[in-house]
Amino acid sequence: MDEFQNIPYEDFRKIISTVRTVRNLDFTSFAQDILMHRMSRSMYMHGLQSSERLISKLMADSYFADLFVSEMFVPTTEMFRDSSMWKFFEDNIIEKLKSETLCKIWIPQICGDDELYSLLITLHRKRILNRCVVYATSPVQKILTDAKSGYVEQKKIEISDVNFKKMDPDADLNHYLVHEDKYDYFSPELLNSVIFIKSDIITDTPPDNGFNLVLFRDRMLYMNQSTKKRVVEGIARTLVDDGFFIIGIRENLTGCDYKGVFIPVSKSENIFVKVQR
Amino acid sequence: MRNIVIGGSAGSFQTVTAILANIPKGYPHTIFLCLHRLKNVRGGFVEALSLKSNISICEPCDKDPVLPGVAYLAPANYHMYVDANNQFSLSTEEPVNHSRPSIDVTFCSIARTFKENAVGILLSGANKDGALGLKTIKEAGGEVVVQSPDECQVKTMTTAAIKITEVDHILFTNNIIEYLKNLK
Repeated sequence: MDEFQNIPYEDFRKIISTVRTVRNLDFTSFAQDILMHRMSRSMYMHGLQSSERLISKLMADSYFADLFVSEMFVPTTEMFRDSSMWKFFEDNIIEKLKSETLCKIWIPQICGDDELYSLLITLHRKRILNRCVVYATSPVQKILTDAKSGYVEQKKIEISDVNFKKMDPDADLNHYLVHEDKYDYFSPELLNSVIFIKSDIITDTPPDNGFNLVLFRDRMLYMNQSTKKRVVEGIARTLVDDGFFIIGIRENLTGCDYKGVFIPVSKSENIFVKVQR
Repeated sequence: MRNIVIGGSAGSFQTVTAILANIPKGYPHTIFLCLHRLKNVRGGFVEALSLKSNISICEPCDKDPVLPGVAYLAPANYHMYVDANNQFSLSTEEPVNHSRPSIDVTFCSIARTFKENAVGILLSGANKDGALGLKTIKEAGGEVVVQSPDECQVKTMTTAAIKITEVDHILFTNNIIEYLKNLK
């Protein structure tokens, strides 16, 4: 058994249907190949030898169902991923956000806390965090709870600090950590501006509107084309004119009707600004 | 049309360059390259591979369509899948075999999508990434080739593959090139 078990398509459909039944989550909008790998990986990690055993466990074990669902969402796995983007963001975008009395930011579909804490630390460095409201949303409560806890693994600190230092050689991630009972946590003060909301960008209404920034990097990778199109349209509506939209380095807005609404601020870093139509 | 996926790590760059330099213009098959690379260095690799190549080489974006006669290089720090709609799917999932892009991820995806039309080629490398993926291609009906460990700068990867799969060919670089040129 390995993490690349071929799940027959019929079984794949049954697992999706079971998740819909037990957790009211619709995985049909996910990128199929990646979702299949997530399922296979999860079965391997939990020692489940067949789709039937997975389905039985999902039906019988509520804790496992939460865990399984959270494992379907793909983490970024490191902070300050694409450090050149964060450098550009700090040097150019935050300077523009500083003119706002209150800056509204939305990070939809958070998975893990990498992007959230990268953002919070960057805003803190530029002394704008206390003038921001950051909405962090996810359809999975466990993901929100984990992010809120601020717990961070030592291994991740090492990887992320390398990225952070690429952004600024004098930066030190340890300045933003507290050590308690042998574990490391992000400083709780960072979360003063954050509102965690259980919400699915695919099916639910946005948590607010009039956003100055939507940080949505590497999240559209896991959506099929029609869902991506719909989600981008929704984001365009929630942004103020001159609001910023940031997507992943290898993502694009091809196939989205709202493509013309976004003008690139940095083509290499995939940072866009919404223009008035 | 065949879908050729080439995986390599330490010591594979020269072999990949030689292959691309000898693939003729107008080559009818698609080539997918999954090579272990530095995660924070985004630019330069395509340019280096393109220097002597007769065919176009590019790093795909997510959901780009797959086109024949092009060599696609898995982008740094992303896993690369090809889905049933003949589109790329990229992912930031956890590294596999300490690697992102992982050869196993791409090989398994190519096996699932192209089945008997897949051709897997595994080159020199320092870990076992790719061995399982090559086995998956073979089991799906595709053809699998391994660079001769005698020629590999680092033979861990090819040896691991040969250990778990009855490969179709074990070839030196020149023979891999001939094999690819004659591929129907």
